[in-house]
This record gives sequence, C-alpha cells and structure tokens, in this order.
Amino acid sequence: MKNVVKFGHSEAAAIAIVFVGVKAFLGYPRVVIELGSTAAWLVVLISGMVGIGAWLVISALLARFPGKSIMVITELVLGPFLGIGVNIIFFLYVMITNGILLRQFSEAIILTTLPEAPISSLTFLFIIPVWLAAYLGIEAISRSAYISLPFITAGVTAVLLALYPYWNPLMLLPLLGEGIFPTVKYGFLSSTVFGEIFILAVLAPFFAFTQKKLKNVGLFSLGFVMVFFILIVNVYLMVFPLPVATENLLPFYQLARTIYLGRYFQRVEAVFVLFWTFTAFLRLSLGIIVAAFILQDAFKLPYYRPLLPALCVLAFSLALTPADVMQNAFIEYKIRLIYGWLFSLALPCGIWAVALLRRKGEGHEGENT
Amino acid sequence: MPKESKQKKAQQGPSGVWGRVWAVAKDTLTFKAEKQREGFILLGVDDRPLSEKKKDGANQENTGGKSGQDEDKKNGNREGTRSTKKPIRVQRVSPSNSRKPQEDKKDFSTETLLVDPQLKINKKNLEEIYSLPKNKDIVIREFTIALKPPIKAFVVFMEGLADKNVINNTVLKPLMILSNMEEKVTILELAEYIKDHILPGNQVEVLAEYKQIVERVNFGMTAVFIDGSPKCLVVETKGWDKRPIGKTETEQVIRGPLEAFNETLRSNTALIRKLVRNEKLITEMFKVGERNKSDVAIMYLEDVASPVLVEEVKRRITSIKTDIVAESGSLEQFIEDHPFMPSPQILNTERPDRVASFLVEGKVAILVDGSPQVLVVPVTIFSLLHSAEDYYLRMPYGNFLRFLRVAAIFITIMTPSIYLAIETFHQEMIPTDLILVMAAARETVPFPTIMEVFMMEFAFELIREAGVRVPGVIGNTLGIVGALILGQAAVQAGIVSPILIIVVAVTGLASFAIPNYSMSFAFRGVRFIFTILAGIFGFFGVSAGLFILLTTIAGMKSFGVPLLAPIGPRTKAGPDLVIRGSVWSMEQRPDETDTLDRQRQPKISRGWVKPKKRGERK
Amino acid sequence: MKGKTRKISFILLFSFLFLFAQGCWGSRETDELAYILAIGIDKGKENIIQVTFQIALPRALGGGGGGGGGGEGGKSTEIVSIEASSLFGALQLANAFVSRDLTFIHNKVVVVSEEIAREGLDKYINPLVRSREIRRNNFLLVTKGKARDFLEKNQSILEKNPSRQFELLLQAKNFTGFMPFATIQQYHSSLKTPGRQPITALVGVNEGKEGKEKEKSFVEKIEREVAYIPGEIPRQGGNKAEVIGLAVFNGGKLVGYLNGAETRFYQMVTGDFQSAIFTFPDPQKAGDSFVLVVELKKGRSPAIKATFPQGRPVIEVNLILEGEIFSIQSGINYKRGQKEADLQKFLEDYISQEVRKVIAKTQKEFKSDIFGFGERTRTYFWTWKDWENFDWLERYPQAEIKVNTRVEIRRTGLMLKTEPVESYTGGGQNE
Repeated sequence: MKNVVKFGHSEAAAIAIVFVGVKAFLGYPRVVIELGSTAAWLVVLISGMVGIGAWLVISALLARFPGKSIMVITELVLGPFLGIGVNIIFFLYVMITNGILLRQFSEAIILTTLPEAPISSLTFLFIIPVWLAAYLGIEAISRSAYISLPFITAGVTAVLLALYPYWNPLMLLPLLGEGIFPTVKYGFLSSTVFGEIFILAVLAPFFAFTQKKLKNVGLFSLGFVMVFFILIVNVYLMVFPLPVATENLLPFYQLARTIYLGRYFQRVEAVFVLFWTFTAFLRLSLGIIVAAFILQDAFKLPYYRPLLPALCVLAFSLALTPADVMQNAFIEYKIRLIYGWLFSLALPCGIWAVALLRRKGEGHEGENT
Repeated sequence: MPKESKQKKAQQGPSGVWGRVWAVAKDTLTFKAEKQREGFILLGVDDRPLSEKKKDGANQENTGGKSGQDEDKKNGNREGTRSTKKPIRVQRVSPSNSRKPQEDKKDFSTETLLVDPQLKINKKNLEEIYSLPKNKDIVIREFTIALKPPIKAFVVFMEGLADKNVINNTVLKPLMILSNMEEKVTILELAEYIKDHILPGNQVEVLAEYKQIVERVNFGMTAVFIDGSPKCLVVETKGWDKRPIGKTETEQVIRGPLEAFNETLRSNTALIRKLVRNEKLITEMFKVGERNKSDVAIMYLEDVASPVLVEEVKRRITSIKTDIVAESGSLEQFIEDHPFMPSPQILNTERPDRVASFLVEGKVAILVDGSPQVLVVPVTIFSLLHSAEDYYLRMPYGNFLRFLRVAAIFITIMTPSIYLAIETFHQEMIPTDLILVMAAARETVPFPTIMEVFMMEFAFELIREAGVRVPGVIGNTLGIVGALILGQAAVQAGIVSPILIIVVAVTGLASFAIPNYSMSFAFRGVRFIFTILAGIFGFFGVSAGLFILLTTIAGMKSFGVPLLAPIGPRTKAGPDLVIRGSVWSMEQRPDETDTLDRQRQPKISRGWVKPKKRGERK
Repeated sequence: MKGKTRKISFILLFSFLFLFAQGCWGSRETDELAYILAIGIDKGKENIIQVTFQIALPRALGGGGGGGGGGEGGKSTEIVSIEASSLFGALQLANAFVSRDLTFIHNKVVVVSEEIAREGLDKYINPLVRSREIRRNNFLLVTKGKARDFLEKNQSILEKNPSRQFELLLQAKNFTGFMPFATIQQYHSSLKTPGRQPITALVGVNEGKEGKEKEKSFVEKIEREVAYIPGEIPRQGGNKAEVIGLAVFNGGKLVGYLNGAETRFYQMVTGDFQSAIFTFPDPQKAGDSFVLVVELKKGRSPAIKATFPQGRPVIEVNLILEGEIFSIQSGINYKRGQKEADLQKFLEDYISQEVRKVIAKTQKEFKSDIFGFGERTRTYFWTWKDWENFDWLERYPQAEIKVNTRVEIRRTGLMLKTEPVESYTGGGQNE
C-alpha cells in the first residue's frame, strides 16, 4: 500500500471545500431556515463552530499517528474486531451519503434542465463520468477541483451580487429567530453538514505536508465554507422572506432564476446549472474514492481500483431506493442531518478519547500496549 | 446414387448448344494465367498454424530469418490464436533468374566481418555488401598513395551524400600528390601514420569492423582502405543538397526572428548553438531505427537541466526498436506518455529562438535528422498555448494577445455545443426577440439542429483540409472565402439557419488562433464530442464533458511533469502563465521542471533603475 | 486481452445506445414550440376560469431568414381563450387547436380580471410559483374589466412584439411613477409575510368616450391631473390599453385601487420612486390660474422609524426629495431669497399632506398595509414568534403615522430668471 500520490495543501483545501460546500446548492439553506428562521446564520455559525471543534480533535488524533489514515488508526486504537466494525460503519455512512446525494442531484437536474428524462437513466448517466473520474485517480480530481474552485466561487458570488436590487435587509430581523435555545440546539444537530471534513482524515496518507499544516488546511476550508453558507443563507432570506423561503425545493436555483438585471440579463440560470453540475461531479467522484479507500484500508487490500465499478453500482442502487422526492428529502433532512454527525464527528472524537486513555500513538506510547 | 449422377453431370456441364455456349462463357469469363509472361505467380498459401511457422522460422538463415520473425511479431500474432495467410515464396518467372538462388546476402553478415589486410578481399567484401555492379550509388576509386614504397588503396563513398570537392581535396589530393615523403613505418601503424600526418580531414577515424564502416559510408563519409593495413580510415565528407535556412512556415510572427530549422541535423544544431553560446550546452547523439539508423540528438544545458529528466529522455529514446523513424512526429508518438489522450504532451516547434529559450529554462530538446520540427520536453499545457511573439512584444500587447488566445480556446471548444444546447433545451435563455427570429428562420430548415451543426462543422473541416493541399496563394483564401460562400449559399437554399453560419465561422476562426498545430487538432476533435453531448443532454452534457476533459488533462503527465503544472498541483508559478509578467520580473525558472539552478535573474534586473526611497515622489 | 476490451467496449456502446432510444429527453427544436407571451385569467361561464393566451407568431415578428421584413399589416400574435378548471388544464386543452407545443418560458405578464381578484387571487398564484416554466419575475396585472378584452385591445403603436412592449411599459416607472414594479415574486412574498400586504399594477382599456365630468375649480383640476385609474384618462388615439395605478389587496382579495397620483406618493414611501413631474398651483398667485411644474426626484431612500411609546406603534416617515423646476408660468423668480424658502415650504407641505391622505385611505378604507410599515417593526422583537404574535396587520388601521418631507430645489432648467412680458395694455402713453 505504498502511496505514490501526494498532493499539496491547496488541493487538499480545494477538495475539502468542494466536499463540504456542495450542500449549499441543494436543500440545505431551506432546512436551516426552517430550523432557525431568521437566525439561520447563527445556526450555521454554531454548526461551524462545532465542526471546527471536532476537527481540532480529529487532527489531534491524526497527529498522534502521522501519515496514517483514520481507518488504520481506528484499528490500532480499538483493536482488530472493534476497529473493523467501526470502519464498516464509516464506510456505510459514506456510501449512504453518496447514494442520497446522487439521488438529490439527479432529481435536481431533472427538475431544472431535462424534464422528461427518466430518473434511472439520468442517474446512470451521472454515474458514468463519476466512475471515469474516479478511475483517473484522486490526483487528477484534486487538480480539477483546485482549478475549478475559483470559477465556482466567482459564479456563486455573481449570483449573490446580481440579486442586489432584490435585497431587503429587514428580512433578516428579528435577530434571534426562534429563540436562543432552539437555535443552539439545531446548530449542534445540523453540524452534520460540516462533518464532511472527515474526508481529510481519510485521505491523510496522501498529503505531502505535516500534520500541523493539515490542521490549518481543515480550519481554512471549514471557515471558507462557513462564510459562504452564511452569505448564501442570508441572501436567500433577504430575497425570499421567511415563510416563502421554506417553500422552495432548490433554494439556490430559485435565486439564480430571480436574476433580472434589465432586458438582456435575465433567465440565465442555465449557466449556473453548469457550475452546479460540475461541483456535483466532483463531490460524487470524491465520495466514491473515499469509500473505496475506507474499504481498502479496513480490509488491507493492495489496490482500490477494482472496487470502483462495484461501488458505483452500489451508489446507483442506493440512489434509486427512495420512492420519490419527498421521501428522499425526508431521509436527508429529517434523519441524516440530525443524526449524521454522530458518525462523522462524534465517532472520531470517541476514538481520540480512547486513544488518549489507552495511550496509543507516536511518542505517547505508555505502559499499556 | 442421385448424388453421384448429379456430380458427374455438374462436371460435364450441359450438352449441346448450351454446352458450347457454356464453354465459350467459361473461357472468356475465367482468368487464365499465361506462363510465358513475366510476373509474379502465387505458388502457394501458407495456412499452417503459427507454431509450425515459428519452427520453420527458427531454421532459416540469420538475416532472412530475423526479418521473418519480426514480420510475424508485427502482424500481431502473440498468442497464436490466429493464423494468417501469407505467400511464402515469390518467384520471378523470367529465365535469367530461375537458376540463381534467391537470397544473396544470406550467409554474409556484416556483423562480425573485419577489415582484411589484403585489398582485393576488402574490395570483394564491399562488392558483396553493396551488391556492387548493380548499385550505382557507391563509387570505388582505386589509387596509389605516394609514399615510398607506393601503397595501393581505394576509397569508397556514396555519390550524392559525400561532397566530391572535399573528397578530391582532402582525401585524394594529399594522398596521391602531396604525400611524397619517405618514412619507415610498420604496416600496422600505417593507418595511424596516414591519419596523423598525411590525411588532412577534420574528422578522421580509424576503424576495423565492417559494420561501423558501412554505417558511416551510408551516411556520406568516405572510407579509405589501404593495402596491408588491417584498419581503415573513415573521413568526414558529408555534403549533400539541402534546403537553405528559410522562413518559418507555420509559426510566423511579425516581431521576431524568422529563421526556421531545416532537414539537416547539423544545420539545426548549429542554429541552436548560434543562440545559446554556452559551453555547458551538450548534444548527445543516438541512432534510432534498424533499417535507416537515423541520428537523433538531444540538447540540454548541463548545469540547469535536471539530471533525472535527461536520464529519462535518454532511456526512452534508446529503448525504441523499430525500423524507421522518419520524422520527429513518429518519434514523438513513440516516447510520449499518453498516446491516446487528446492533448499533446510534447511541444514541437520550428523556431530556434523558442528552442533556445526553452533550453535555458531547463528543458531538453530532441532533434531528429530529416525533420525540421524540434521536440521539447517536458512541457505544460500553458507552454503549448504560448506563441513566441508574446515575449518579443511589450507586455500590454503580449497580454492582450494572450487573452485573445484564451478566449479563442473557449470559443473553439464550447461555442457549437452551447449554441446547440441553448437552441434545443434552454430556449428561455435567449431574449424573446431573438428566439422569435430564430424560430422564424428555422421554419424553412428541414433538418434538426444537431444535424445542421454537424453538417456545417464537417463542411468547414473539409474546406480547411482542402485548403492545405491547394498550392500557393489560392490555398489561404480558399479556406475563408469558400466557407463564407458555402455558408451563404446554404442559407439561401434554406438548408441551414443563418445564425449557425456565424457560429461555425467564428469557431473555425478561433481554432486558427491556437498557435500549436497539434493542440488545435486536439480542440477540434474535442469540439465534436461536446457537440454530441450537448445535442443529447443539453447543458448537463456540456458540464459532464467539461468535467471529464478537465480531469483527464489534469491526470496527464509529460515526462514526469504534470501537464497542468503550475495550477494542477500548485507549484511556484512564475509570472508567465496566462498573462505574462514583465520581462524583468521573471526571476525564477519554472518550478515544475525541477532544475538545478533556480534563479534566473536577480531581483533588480534593470540596473539603471534607481530604487525608490519611501515617501519620495519623484 | 484484446477480446476482453472489445467485449467491454461493445457492452458500453450498446448500453449507451439504449439511453438514446427514448428520444432526446426533452430536447425540442425552436420551431416546435409556440411561445406564449401573455396569460389572462377571467371568470369562466362554462367552467371555472377562462384562460387567454397571447401566442407569438414568429413569421410576423421575426422576419424571414436572410432579410425579409416582418408582416406589415398582419397580426403579430394570436389570442386564444379556453375555458377550463385550471391554468394547466387550459394549456393542455389549447393544444387541441394550436399546432405547436405551447410553452410558458417566454411569458411576460399575467393579467387577472377584477372579478377573480376580488374573489381571491391566492389560489391562482400557486401554479404560477410552482411551475418550472413560468418565472417569478413575470409582471402581475389586475385589469378593470375582462382580461381577454385587455389582451385583445392592446395594440401597441410602436412595438410589434407585445413582450417588448410590456417590458418597456412596465419599466417606465422610472420616470413617471405611475406603475409599481409588481412581479409575481413580490406578490407572493408580500402575501405570505406578516408585515406587508401585496399589490399589483392596474391596467384597463380606454374606449375613448368622453367622460361626464362636473365642473371643477382650477385647483381641483390640477389635483385631478394624473389621478386616474385605467379607462378614465381623457385622451384620444393611441393604444387602447392603459397602465396606471395599482390594485390594493388584503390577503389574496382585491379591496380597492389607488389612482395614478396616489401611486406616486405610495412609491415615495416605499422608496421605489425615482422621479416624476408634478404640477402645482402657483403658491404666490393662487387664484390666478398659474401652474408651477416641478420634477421631483428621489433624494435619498425614505427614513422610516417605528417607535413604541406607551406600547402603541408610531411610525415616522421622512421623505427626502430633490426638485428641478420645469415651468414657472407666472414668471416669478422663485429662486431668490425668501421666495425660495416659501416655495420649498409650500412643496413640502403639499406632499406631506398628500402622502398622509394616501396612507389614511389605506388605513381606513382598505385596512391593508401595502407600504410595508410592519417590516420596520421587526427591530423591536427578538424572536420570530413574538413578532408574529404582535400581529401588525390587525393593528395597522389604528396606527399613528407621521409624515415629514424635505424638498430641495436644485435646478431651474436652462433659464435662470424670467423677464416679464411686454404687451399693449391700452393704458395710454406716459406723456
């Protein structure tokens, strides 16, 4: 399992930003407004803080075992049987997320650009470039992500700024939304969104920089995504006031649709669909590769490439499992958002606690084995 | 019973009138070979499976056998699953040949033959090697060297490749006329003595193996065989007709030198040496190709280029086994990393000034004899998109050209597909006035949009390809004018809609703006794929295509350097990527080629500029 | 090895072909679509609603390829009406006699008749907002009379393309102030939020009949200058359709109209007002039938504050306007000294009074807060529930609203002062 691939901190940050930030293009703004009403930005902020805190713990865990991915660490810390069990839980979590996201993206594409496409064909079509890209390797995808990130950021900013005539800052008041306690509670619960930073832990052996820098990379990505989430949520709230904001299925798409800067610059949301599907492809191919890595490290396989077609088929079938859009939205927002953080954030923190107790890790080897 | 009679009847044929008609028809309609005519007769077809043929091949003679095995391999019979039908023997049906055994070089291998002290035997060997009375290109001139005692000798050279004046003046004249000296030298040292004292050629070698001698004579050198000496002298006398140094044909600039490489290796290396007058510039030569043994040279600056890179280039070139490498393009395909990917990974140029600037940056240049294009490795995709003029013009103009080129690339790849996607899937993006015009225009057109686009694109490519073949001045104008007229006529006939003509014309023009020829092919090919994707899946297809293209290019490497280098993996990029910084700000060599010496110019490269003190205004 | 790659590529290609077998997934040629430019909704006789579509005729509007001109005297659009139970039901039914596939993607306006609006517009908004083809920045118009009449009689003299006509017309708010910028987006948002009530623009058809107006005094005439609702503007010639004024809604139901003049003052309060030209009676010579024409522009956005002395909401509105004098019929030099201050005070009082009248009208007559004052009260509450419970819309009719205006006259056109007129008065020469 020697890793010939190494990539630097810019690509790592780009991967993390894409992995975490893609949620803003789907239903996340709507859900966070539903949970926190006008204090949605506060909910995002609290989620971000929780995510950052968990990331600090995870990077401390990674610092104890430099150069190893979290699956290997799990096995070292928890022993063989429990370790494999936890790794399988990680794998299942990542695959289920992939499946749900794939379904959401396909539904979004059908709704917005290809209204007559059957869902299975479109999902199949989505999976093909994802599989090709995963086949090309994580190096190529990380470079793609790094190159396209400025454009995606520029596109998002352009959408937000082009809506300036519609901004109504009064809609952001009253400040506390639902009240302090529900805001904080939902902030904690919806930190699943930032739990995707987990990917940096899985890809730890591929980074050509030190653990200290890894912590900074994670912090930077989380901060960047948090700022953008807050911006998107606020602009969305300013343009669509509160009760209306919880009605839209695809908030960002609606924002892009509302752009009207005169007679000639209207109805341009198809261009934003370009950016958006690009991000979807990046996220999904990264997701498949991450799942393949988890399996490879958990079961100590020599290569991961043969797993890719199987995982693609698995994601495809997971994507087609929910019966309709509503059920998919229910699974995503009522189940996964509320409980997912247990797997991606709490579990690694627990592993860190166990590592602390059992005194494992480089330079921390104590009397216990 | 009935079968037998049927067979017999079939053999006999119908009888009576019909029988005669049948006989006449058979005579005229079947082909009969006349044995008196000269020509080939297929004596048999070898249908045996491969294993038997291989056994046969191993029993054959050296040279003939080798070529047979190679041929087998080349036909791709690796596992022996397929048997090929090959003519095994071919025979000239003329009486003069019928008694001679076919192969004439069979037991005469030049591999191990050495020069014989006896002149007669050497001459006989050479006649055998070159098939001499038949082969009129080789000249053997016998003469006597005017030493005391006079020694017989002869020279061998290839007419046309060897410079006759040099032979007369440098070889024949001194040996025949001017060497009238008396020296007591032993026979063994005769060759050395002649080389040191009598033969004034500027490159003389003393050789004993026929293999090397024949190689050199094949390339224009002259071999001097001396009676009694077991060694032979080979003198450099190359001189053949070649194209003079001309103007660049494909990479023209308004500002900058216009010299271009020509087909001779030595002229090309001279052109590069003229620009990089550095003692550390090294030229290493290799011979590539079994049958034609062409020279391939690599040039690099020893104290700048990374040794790992040079090793890799040498390794790849020396490991090529093929029969002829005619041009640098063929060599490029042998040594590149990804032969099937759309983008080229090796830069080829015909301008010496570009090669010189690349050498100074630490890259390696590969020159192939017989080709006016020089390869430069390793290369990033940004170097493929720069043209020489960007550097010679002032910075604002250079950057303007670069922006234009970047826009041209986007237009080339994306315009037809975006047009197609918008017209068939996203009609809401077009302003209402325009969509009504387009709908009105399309009413007369019988084809669906995707077919329209393909037809016009194909026609444009056809015109472009045709314009290459038409000679002279007409060729260039044919492209543009032909396309416009064709487009206009098509619009008038109502086959295509007028907006499409504009789209196709703009796309074509933009593809002309790409400086590297292979690169423009890459983009033109990719454009078709994008069009198909857009026609079927709309913007989603365009996006998927972009993603695959970007990821594919991001995964490509050129001799170990990733193709998208300063952006792909983020390395320290100089100010020379998409836009170009000013000439005095390019302080470091590009990071990705891992050169030995990073600093190119000091921080203040314009010595005449006085540094400004803080707070001072003028 | 070669056999395997062959098989795999064959399978892939084959499966790819299957994807194409279902047709191209929603790709439609531009000439397969019929573009609807305007939708009208009326009450139906044989079914629930009567839907009117204005379909563009590309040949007339687009011209032939290669230079042919558009149809000169022919129609540029076709207007069809269908009775159905819902908007999309009508769309489907229309395909029975329209050859191409009808689509809403280039729709520009949705016109609703008065009757439907009085019954309640909120149930018809739902398909407009949910559909993928109808966009939220289409203009929403309420028409006096029937929508079908409006669409039929709307023959623009300058534009062939009604889509362009509507866009330009409804963008004219920038220099007249007669029409609010009312799209489905704003209607829907104002409908649902507890701080504001929705409005739409008002349109109608002017048959050109002479109105029976009673004799009015001079000042009344000036006040009446732009205070019309559509259908009443005294004019002759031009397009029969008129766009002026706005319709006030309470929830989803139409409750009344604001005429052109009132719309201007409405826009001043909401901050959408850009500029308009006002005619005032000359303050110095009130009885002498001289008018003063001033163009007022928005100086800065109005500063609206909501305060709660003793628990009652009090709203303070401060308008800041700039003016440019267009016509002084009396010739008095208003830019000198005391006269200038007098003029400014006169204008400020006039405008404050008019604005107060409009606000009072919405409070007393319509009981609907279309200005959005409720949004300003958000600053006083900490949570959404508290603000919702405050229930501004119920308190609006009793709220106290103060209006102050500041007007600064900046320019007087090209003339600096007016010299008096010389004429023969018959008074005899001075000997």
